Amino acid sequence: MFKFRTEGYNGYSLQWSPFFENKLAVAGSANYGLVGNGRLFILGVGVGPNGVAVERVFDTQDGLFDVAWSEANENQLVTASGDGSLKLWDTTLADFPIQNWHEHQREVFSVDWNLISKDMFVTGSWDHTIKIWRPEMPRSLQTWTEHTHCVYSTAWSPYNPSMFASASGDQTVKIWDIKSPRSMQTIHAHTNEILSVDWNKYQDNTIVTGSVDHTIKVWDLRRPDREVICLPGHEYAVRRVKCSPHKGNIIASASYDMSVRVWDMAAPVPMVELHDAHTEFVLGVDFNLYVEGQIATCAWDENVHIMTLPSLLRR
Amino acid sequence: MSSDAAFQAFDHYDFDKDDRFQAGLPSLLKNQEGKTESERLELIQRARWFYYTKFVQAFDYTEYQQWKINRNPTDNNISDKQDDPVQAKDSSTDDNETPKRLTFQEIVERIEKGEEIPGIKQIPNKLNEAAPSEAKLSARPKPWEVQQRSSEAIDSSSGTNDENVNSNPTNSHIL
Repeated sequence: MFKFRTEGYNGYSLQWSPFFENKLAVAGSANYGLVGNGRLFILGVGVGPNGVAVERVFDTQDGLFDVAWSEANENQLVTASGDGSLKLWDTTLADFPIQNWHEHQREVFSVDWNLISKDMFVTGSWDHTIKIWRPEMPRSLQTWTEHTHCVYSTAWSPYNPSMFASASGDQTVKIWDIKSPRSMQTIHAHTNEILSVDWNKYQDNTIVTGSVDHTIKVWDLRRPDREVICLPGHEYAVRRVKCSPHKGNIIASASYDMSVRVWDMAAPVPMVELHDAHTEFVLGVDFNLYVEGQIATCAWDENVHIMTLPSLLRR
Repeated sequence: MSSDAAFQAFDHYDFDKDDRFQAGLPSLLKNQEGKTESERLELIQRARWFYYTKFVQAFDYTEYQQWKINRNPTDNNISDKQDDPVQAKDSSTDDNETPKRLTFQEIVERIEKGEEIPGIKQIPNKLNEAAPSEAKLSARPKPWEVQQRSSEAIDSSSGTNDENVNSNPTNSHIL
């Protein structure tokens, strides 16, 4: 396992590059994101004496809560900030962003880049709104205000370029088509806040949710009246869920119980990995797109962990 | 030797008078034209670490960096400061003070009392004036797209897909 310390910054989110299998972006906030600066780390994995080398850092006035690599330009990525701003960075240019948007009225908790059209990204905010953006446009393209509480998570469909999901503190998940002013579908997925949603990469009607109720649920959008499977096990809120890019039955989750777990929803005993080396809330987890079995995690303990899980290769 | 002592010894090692190290330096710096000063300093510092670890004494570079950051800035002499990539990088944005770390509860209490939180840097709210990079790489197929295409390829006996799969250096052996 590689470890990297995000000294002075509590990890909020991380994402592997969609272009380079050894590049990782980590979004962090000073003072647990309550007040103070943010920092975006661009890390080279498998580089240098310790297995992780800093390629670039970008500092921001306010904490960073999420990050998404551009799917169109291998050097660019967008961050979501506590002051409501979004910033587009170019890793070839030091210090300052190449674009800055400030429309959200409160913390932006999620940003996700479109996997298919690759020309836009979606953001979710504590101001209850969802917005979509194009990197070259000075204003957002569209805003949706249907959720009645904070939007914590937004995720594009891997199969339909105009469809995305959102998860909210109003205990619902909504499915959207960007061509429509209203949501296509609303699922009352949990009886507590929903902090994370992701799409299954191999079954285009399947999504996964993680909630403050400690559970992960898998949903078939064609039969939304109840979940396909509920995965209990975490002892506190589930902060992030991610579906494996390599296998349709594998899910990773990060939790306020300080653990990261990997689940095989097709197995009789679904929990297949328990990583408990973090010593604070774990907020970020991501699968390497091009190195099967490798995952990265980040936590409030100011540590990034990068590990290869042999059990994932066997499944 | 404690790591503290090792780090200090490394800081005070005279690389300028080490002929073997100096001999290797030009080739290292040959292709660094486009790099910023802090990137060059980082490279030199890493080269020094690599050399020192190989020929003098081994130590953990991350721990060394942490030690460097945590050290009282007044201990640094001027040449130290120029040689330190971390500080070189930070000097443009702050004064390098590392304040005492507060717990979550302490921060909450300070916010509730309206007290100042130490160590907040002022970052200019401005855009980069340089020209952004142009995309050079074409999109790399996702694993699920590759699997889908290979099954389609089998159906149609077409072998022309997935030219991009190997367009990037493969480092999958790194772990």
